[in-house]
Amino acid sequence: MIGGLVVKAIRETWRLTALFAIGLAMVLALLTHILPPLQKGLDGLLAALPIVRTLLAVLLGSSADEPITARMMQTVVWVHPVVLALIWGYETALCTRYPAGEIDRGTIDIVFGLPVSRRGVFIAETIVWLLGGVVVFACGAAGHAWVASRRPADVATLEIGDSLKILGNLFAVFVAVGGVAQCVAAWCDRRSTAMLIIFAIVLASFLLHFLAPFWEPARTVVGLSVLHYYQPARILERGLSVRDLAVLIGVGAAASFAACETVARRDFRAV
Amino acid sequence: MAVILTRGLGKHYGARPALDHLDLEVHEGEVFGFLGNNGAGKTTTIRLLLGLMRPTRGAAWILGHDCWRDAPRIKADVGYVPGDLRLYPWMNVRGALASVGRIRGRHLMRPGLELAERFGLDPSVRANAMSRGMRQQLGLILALVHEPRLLILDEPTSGLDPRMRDRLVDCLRERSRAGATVFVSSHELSEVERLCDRVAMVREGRSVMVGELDVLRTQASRSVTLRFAAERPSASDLPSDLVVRHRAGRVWSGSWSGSSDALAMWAKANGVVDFSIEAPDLESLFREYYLEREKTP
Repeated sequence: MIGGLVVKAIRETWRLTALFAIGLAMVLALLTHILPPLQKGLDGLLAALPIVRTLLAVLLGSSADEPITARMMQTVVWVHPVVLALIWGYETALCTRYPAGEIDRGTIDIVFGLPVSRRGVFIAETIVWLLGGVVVFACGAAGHAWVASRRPADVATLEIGDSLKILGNLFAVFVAVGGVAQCVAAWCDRRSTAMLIIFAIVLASFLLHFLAPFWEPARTVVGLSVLHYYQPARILERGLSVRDLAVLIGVGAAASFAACETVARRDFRAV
Repeated sequence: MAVILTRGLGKHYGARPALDHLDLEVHEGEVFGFLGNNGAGKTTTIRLLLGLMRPTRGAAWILGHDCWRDAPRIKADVGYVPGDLRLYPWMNVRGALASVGRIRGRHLMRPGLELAERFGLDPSVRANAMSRGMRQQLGLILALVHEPRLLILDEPTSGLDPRMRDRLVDCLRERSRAGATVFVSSHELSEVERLCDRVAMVREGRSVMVGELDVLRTQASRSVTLRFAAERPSASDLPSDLVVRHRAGRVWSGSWSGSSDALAMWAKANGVVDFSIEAPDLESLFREYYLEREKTP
């Protein structure tokens, strides 16, 4: 049963997955390509505009008084807002398919005219979301690696191991955001409503992370921001943080479980 | 064993009752009509039977299994066509049969294509290029293809042309003869009359009548037309079984709820030169059990 549902979900999502995978590969290739020339004039810019330096430090997860090294700068591609927007956009589209999307377009009656359980459909959709994530991440990483491998030898490049660690942490962010997205979709009858709520949550999380160094109230709740647990500069310095991974995957798994149980208990009314 | 059984089934949307204490029993091989106006509770009942919603009170069973707890198991033996059928845009007959076959764990391509041929549906046309009638046909194929023991059809003929309706009626009768039970929700009375053995009528979430059509016909009042030799003096002389709805000079029409003999005797004694009495149809039954009682709170 789940196999059939997985095949159905893949059939419906492969174009979207391909689109985001190609998009992410292109964006990462482009960012990797333009980073070295940008880096040359960056030191002067950072000295002239301390606010940019602070924002960059927040983005990378280094402390404000710590120098931003050329090696640290290589991780910018993995925290660039366009990259994050692509990844979150993709998972918002996938994670709101069920039940909100199915109720919204009226196909929930087709699904549940078949001998399938609510949890079974949820598990199938979760498998497809995670598999799709692996494909999108792999394509993004391939785009980055392809351009990085063509750089001159004197240009600083991240080790494969470091890149994989950052990618692993980013995938944990993907799991956390996706779990929350599933939870929102589990309560909604309209996909557009679910997407708007998720967008608001992700935007708030992003802003909270950037406001924290400047605004005391934001600093006290910065732990609620998903980016607080994804700081590439810290990964380069100290390696992967098990605590960060545990928080992200724990939040994702708990939210996903809550979503599954909500779906199993709620009414599917005709809209 | 009842194929469908509900006991005190109720569903509230907030404070508003959509269904209130519905008791139904549908037997094996029966073609059962479920009648009611829009908003009467037909679709809510069907969604409760399919486990799409949880009852607020009471319970429903299909083939002995609880409709909420055992919904996936029940659906192995059920074919369902929703009232407002919406298909996935990628679906054509072949794609849909392959997908549904994988999920049901059965090879459905051959019987499905045979059904498509019978309905005259092109197996390669995608749902987003189909007319409403074609989509309805595909929905019916998906509901019929695994030869379910119970078919639940919510307004199955909407969007179908008369030729397709005939084919559907034939098909459902065939399935019923083969032992399948058919539960049809409709407000198309002529359709139900053509198809069903028994009917239930719901009004404002409550069952107002359940019974065999033939028995109900004998209980229902019949349409009468009376032609008098001269103007009738007053309505006070009329028997209680006669309800006059229309008077056009010496010709009166209305309904008669007594025996034919009694009408004949009264007509002879009251200057009626000619009268006709018709067998009650579902339309008049519906009017009597539903619309007229709706007037009385």
